[in-house]
Amino acid sequence: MSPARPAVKVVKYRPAGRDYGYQNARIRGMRSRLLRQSFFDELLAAKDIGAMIQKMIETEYGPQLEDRILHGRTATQVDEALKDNMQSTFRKVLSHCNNEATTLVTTLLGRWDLFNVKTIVRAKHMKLEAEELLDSLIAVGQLSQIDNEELARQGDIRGLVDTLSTWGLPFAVPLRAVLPEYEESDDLSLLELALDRYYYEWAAKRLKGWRENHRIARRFLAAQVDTMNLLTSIRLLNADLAPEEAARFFLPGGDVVDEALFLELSVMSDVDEVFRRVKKTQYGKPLDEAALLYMEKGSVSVFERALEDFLFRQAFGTGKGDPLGIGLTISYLWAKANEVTNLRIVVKGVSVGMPEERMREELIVV
Amino acid sequence: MEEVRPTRSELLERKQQITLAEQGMDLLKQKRDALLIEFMSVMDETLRLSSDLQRTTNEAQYSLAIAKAVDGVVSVRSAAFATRGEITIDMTGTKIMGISVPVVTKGESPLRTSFTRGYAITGVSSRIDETADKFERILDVIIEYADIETRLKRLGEEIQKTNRRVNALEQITVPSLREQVAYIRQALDERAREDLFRLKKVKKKIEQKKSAHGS
Repeated sequence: MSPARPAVKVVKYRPAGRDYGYQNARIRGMRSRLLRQSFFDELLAAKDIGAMIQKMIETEYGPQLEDRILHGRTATQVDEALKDNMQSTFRKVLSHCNNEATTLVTTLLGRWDLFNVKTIVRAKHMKLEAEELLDSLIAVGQLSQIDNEELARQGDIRGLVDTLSTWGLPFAVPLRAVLPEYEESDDLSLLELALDRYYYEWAAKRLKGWRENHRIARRFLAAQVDTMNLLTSIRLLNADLAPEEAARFFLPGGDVVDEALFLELSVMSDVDEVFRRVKKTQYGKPLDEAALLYMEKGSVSVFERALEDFLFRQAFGTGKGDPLGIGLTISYLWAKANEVTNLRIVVKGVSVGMPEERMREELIVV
Repeated sequence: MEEVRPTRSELLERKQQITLAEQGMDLLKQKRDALLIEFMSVMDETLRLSSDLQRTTNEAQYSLAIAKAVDGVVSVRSAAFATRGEITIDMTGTKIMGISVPVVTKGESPLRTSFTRGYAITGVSSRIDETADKFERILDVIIEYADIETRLKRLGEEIQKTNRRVNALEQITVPSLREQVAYIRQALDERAREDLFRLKKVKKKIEQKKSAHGS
């Protein structure tokens, strides 16, 4: 019997301060493994879900797919595998981040924490059991899966707020503020709006700083808020809401669409008027491109899609700047999310027999 | 054939029964024709609603597939948590040509707006919102369809029932009564002929007796 080897403790290297060298080298490596357009072409040509799984198993998604297809070779299991992969990739990126990048990235990814908290709030409002909602949580932000599960196990919204408060999470503040009004009116949207407003205000404050990396993250967040406000104002057009009612839906933290412009847009008579008003901003072009399609389909989702594409381009653009900056990380995270969305579109499309042409239209290719 | 007494009163009774059965048959035929007219108009409406339901369902399923693909199942499920609710349906009844038909009406319209679904629109994509809208439209059509389909079924059952009655009268009751009338007539004629023969015989015998006494 060979002598026992001394136990070696593997200490994972984590860069400190603002050292982006190691972090960006690892992320470049990960970026090189993103799927190419040619892979999607091959995937679109797949006959069925089985053939698609066979192709995907040879990629980065292999380990998660192998785990999930034990439960069946279905589109749902592939979807779950994609979610698992996205979660582990985002966690991996966070583990490579230096201190500054951790703050910036967790702030931007806080939208996923916001999503999870809102999902739990919705479920508690409907008095659902934790087991019913665990599959609907996605741990890619600051909150881990265990945190999310613990929050989901709270008996009611008050219990959830208390737990968030105990953990010192920012979402407790807006929830606690509107809780009495919610308990009186039973209006779920009060809680959701308070959470949305608070998160974007909190994130904008947290990203304030004179350094270029802060500015990049701040600009990207502002673009997200602007696109959301623009879209909300378009959705409010036919609602005939009074200005003070419409103001409830405004989210702070944008660069172009401030509250005054939001209110002005939301009481306009039609989309053309909104379009003319924002024509000279950076959102004019994507809206202009979608206008024709909107006339054909009459669906607001056309604008949403155009603004999402714009946002993805913005995210990818951040990666083209300083090679030792936060841009590369933001760009990679959004590229990964984009890749997962595209895979979902193809998998879902093939499983429901969607024509290839229609799937190609839905793919987000930048 | 059931036991028939071949009497004149029975003949009259059977004749009356035939007249009554023929009158009933005509009335039932008229009822059947009126029901058929009603059935056809309900059928047109059912077909319209059925194709409406088919189209709405296809559109909704397609929207759901797109929403699940682009926003993810997780987002769709999360939004669905907020929109759970109940639908109230009123069940009453009415009469069409004397037939009781249940009437299904919406207690409260299942159609909601983006602001009354429960969630805040800032956190739910317009794709998911539009999908919810399309599924609510399905519910709306389903309730209308349930009402019209029940009406169609009841009318169909009643037409079948009426048809069976007409056929029974036309093919069984009236022919059987006619047979009975014919049988009674035949029996009465037979009896009349026998009486005549007997009377002739009696007359002949009386005449023979008279001639024997005379000679």
